Order: sequence, then structure tokens, then C-alpha cells
Amino acid sequence: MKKIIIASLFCLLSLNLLAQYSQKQRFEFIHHLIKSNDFDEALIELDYLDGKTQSDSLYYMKGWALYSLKQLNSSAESFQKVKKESTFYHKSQFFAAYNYTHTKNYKSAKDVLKRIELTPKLKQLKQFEYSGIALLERDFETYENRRIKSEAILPALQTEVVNLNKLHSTIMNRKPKKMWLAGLMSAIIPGSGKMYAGKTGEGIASMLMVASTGLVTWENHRKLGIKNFKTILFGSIFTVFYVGNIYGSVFSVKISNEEFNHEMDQKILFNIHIPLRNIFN
Amino acid sequence: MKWIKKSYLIFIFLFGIYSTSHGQNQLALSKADSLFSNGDYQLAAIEYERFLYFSSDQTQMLDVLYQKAQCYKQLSEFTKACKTLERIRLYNETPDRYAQIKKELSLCYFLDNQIQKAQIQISQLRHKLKNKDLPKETLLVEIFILNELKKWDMAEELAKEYINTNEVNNKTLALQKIDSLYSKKNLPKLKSIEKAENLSRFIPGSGQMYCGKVLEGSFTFLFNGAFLALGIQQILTKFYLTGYAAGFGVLHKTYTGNMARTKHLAIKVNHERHTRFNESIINYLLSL
Repeated sequence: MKKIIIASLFCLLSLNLLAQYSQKQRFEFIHHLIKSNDFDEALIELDYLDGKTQSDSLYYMKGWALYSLKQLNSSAESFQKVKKESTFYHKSQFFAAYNYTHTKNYKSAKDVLKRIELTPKLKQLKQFEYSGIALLERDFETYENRRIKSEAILPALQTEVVNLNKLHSTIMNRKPKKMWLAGLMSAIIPGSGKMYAGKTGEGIASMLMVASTGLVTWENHRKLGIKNFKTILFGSIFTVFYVGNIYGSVFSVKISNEEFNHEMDQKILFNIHIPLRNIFN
Repeated sequence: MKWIKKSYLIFIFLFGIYSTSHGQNQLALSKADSLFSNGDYQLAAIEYERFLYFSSDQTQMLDVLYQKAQCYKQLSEFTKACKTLERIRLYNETPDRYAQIKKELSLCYFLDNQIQKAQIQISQLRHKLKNKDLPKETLLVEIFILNELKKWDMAEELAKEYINTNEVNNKTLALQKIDSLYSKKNLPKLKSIEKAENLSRFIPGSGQMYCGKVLEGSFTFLFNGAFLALGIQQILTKFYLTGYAAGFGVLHKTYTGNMARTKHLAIKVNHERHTRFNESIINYLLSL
């Protein structure tokens, strides 16, 4: 018996000396770091475990930490490694698709969504995310096919489905402004091209600027003749303002279109993000 | 006899489990200390946090949190250092430990540019210490805070207290230096933003000159004057449109631009002078 006791003591002491945290404990600790918003520290810990285990928790937590640090592409790659047996599978895949969508990698986002194996409850969410991507791509036909039309919409999706439909109507109802038309308008009435682009203040300012330099040139031309230095100087200034205003109007339309599209994209992304947070958190 | 043997074995295994978990935590702590000594502060902070997470030993919590805050301080991550120090519960701590934490908190808040919070920590420490002197480092932080708040008289008083209460070589010389640093002549001459704006309102460019930018002010004066003269001259020669648009129209733009520039300049000059003065005080007091 003495021998057994001595042997047990020896084994336990050796164990104590070799004391190392188990993987479960490490994951618990990483979870704690993520909950405390210490994402950089969590990533260091996850990198340490990366070669040692292929656990789904590792990929999920890494994806989440990277998502929180706005490293969306790396986050999506990590999320995708979570296997379907994991409890984090659906959350990971949907967030991977969202991350790709946010980085305008719509093809990868759709591929991820396509591969997700779903429970019936989440089918509507998948359909909703698809419709959001279609709207981001301005693929109205696909949006019409994909959008949720049934009466029984998941409570977590109800508001966002309505919002997405409203955004669809707004995009459809807006006629894209034409650059050539803005240029032509500004050539006829300086500043009107900018007003057409939706920048009324800028348009009025340009109109006043071109009009005042034009009037000064006209006054000098009338009183001093076309060959006088002052007429040539003010005439040149007027020409620069006049041509510059046309050029500016053309670009105002381009900027206006881009601003509208950007605003719509941000609103769509916001609306397809909210249900993910509501359903999975 | 059989029961005795069983009891022995149960005790050994229970002790084993306890000692393994205790060993794990102590190992994390030793590793953290070793990483800290090697200057690997990020990893050390993680190991300290690991100890805090797994260990139930409350007696070491304060020291470990303090050490973790030191890691972030070394990494110049002062917000995280403050967050770590805020986790320390000070209700039952001795006055010395209380002073140690408050000293560190006030410094970290100051370095994190949270002046008001730093001041609150020092007030709390003063209240706790009652008639005792503040720690040397905290007194320094308080002087720096008062300098930031432009309370020169109080800062000078504390700077003298710092010299008198601490071991400083040649105290008389040091006190004289403090007198000269805080003398009226040496205090930063801060410009009144309102005065600078008003000057530029009546004489364009004079606000810039008041802020010390004579060349810029002269140029602005000439520039505005030239457009005013052009406007008047053109109107007098019956070029009404030219006078109004090319003269007064442009003058309006340069005049309003000049006002905005004056305000910006006054703020910038004040900031530069204030910072330079504070740095001279900080450098001197730290060199003592």
C-alpha cells in the first residue's frame, strides 16, 4: 500500500509540474476575452491554438474577433471553416456571407449562402439575404423573384422586409441623372446643370459667379472695346468660370449618382445585418 | 485499516486536483512575470488575465491587475491600462496600497488625456491621506494637470512643495528656477481669440499681426486693400459692374476668409505656446 501511495504522490507531483491549461479552459478564456472586447488578445490566443486543433470553436471565435475588428474578408474565411455539426454553423455561415456582401464580394456571398444546409426556420432568412444581395447588385428581376412575399414572415424579419421593399421602390423610382444633359443645361444656363444634379446651392453660387464675370466682361467690352487688356482679362476669367462650370456640372451628376447609390447600399447592408444580430445573438 | 487507506487515497487525489489547478495558475503567473521582464508586454498582459480568470485567490488580484495595467502602460495603451486599474476594488485595501493604485490611475488618466478623471483620483487620494503628503509622482501629475488647466499660481505652489518635500540637489537653485519659470515674463502669453477677430474685422490682417504673423498680416492687409481700391476706382470711373463684382465681390470673399483664418491662427498660437511652456516645466521637474 505504501508503494501505491508513494507512486500516486509521484504521479500527481509530476502532473503538477507539467500543469498546462486544457483546450477547453483555453477556449473558455478566449470566450472571456471576446466578451471583454479584448479582440487583439483573443486573436493572439487563437493563433496559438490554430496549429494544435481543428476545432469549430476556434474558427468561430476567430471569425467573430476578426468581424469585431472589421477585418471582414479574413473573418469570412474563418467563419466558413466551421463545420455543419457545430452549434455555431448557421451563425458562422450567415455572417461569412454578410462579410463578403459588405466587402462587395457578392459572388462569394451567394456561394456561401448556396452551400448552407438549413433548418426550415432559417430558409426565410437565407431568402431575405439573397434578396438583399440582389438589390445591392441592382438585379431587380432576381430581387423580385427572391423577395419574401408570403404572409407568414419571421418576426425578426418583418420590419427589414418592409424596409427592403421601400428601398427597392426608391431605387426603381429614381431616374438616373444624365451627365450630358447636365453639361448641356449648364452651357445654356450656367449653374442649372448642378441644380439638375440636386446641388441647388452650388448651382446658384455658380450661376452668380459666371453671371458676374460675364457682366463685368460685357461692361468692359462695351466701354473699352474687345482689344482692351481689361476686356481680355475679364473675358478670360469668364471663359474659365463658364467652361469650369460645365465640367463641374457633368461631374456633379456623377457624384450625385454615386452618393445616391452609396446611401442606398448602406441602408440595404444595415437592413440585412439587423436580422442576423437579432436571430443569432 | 481499509477505511484509513481509502481516506488517504481520497485526500491525495483531492489534494492533487487542487494542487494541479493551483500549479496551473501559478505557472501562468510566473510565465507572465517572465514575459514582463523580457519586455513582451502584450503576451504578459494575456497571461495575467488568464491568471485573473482562472484563479480564485483574491489576495493576489490587486497585484496581478496592477501588473497587467503596467503592461498596457508600457505599450502606451493608456485607455486599457485605466480600464484594468478600474477593476481593482479598493474598499478594504490599506492606505499604502490605496495610494499606490490611485497614483497609477491618476498617471494613466493623465497620459490618456482624461484630465478631469485624473484630478478626481488625486482629490480622492488627498482625502484618504488626510494630512499626509501626496506621493512624489502624484504631486508631479497634479502639477502637470494644473498647468494644463492654466492654473499657474497653484501649479507654482505645488512645484515648490514638491522641491521642499523631496530630496532635490541644491533646493535654493531649484526654487529660484521655479520662480523664474512661473514668472510673469515667462508665462505663455496667450492671445485673446475675440480680440484677434475684432482686430481683423476693422483692419484686415491686423489680427494675424497680433498673433505674431506679421508677414502674413501685411500680405492680407495689402490683398484686401487692393480689392477695395479696385472696387472704388472702378466705380469712380463709372465701371459699376466691374467695381461691384471684381472689386467688392472678391473683397467680400477675402475679408470673410481673413476672419476665419485669424480665429484659427489665434487658437493654434495659444496651443503652441501653452504646450511649449508645459513641456519646459515637465522637463525641468522630471530632471530634478
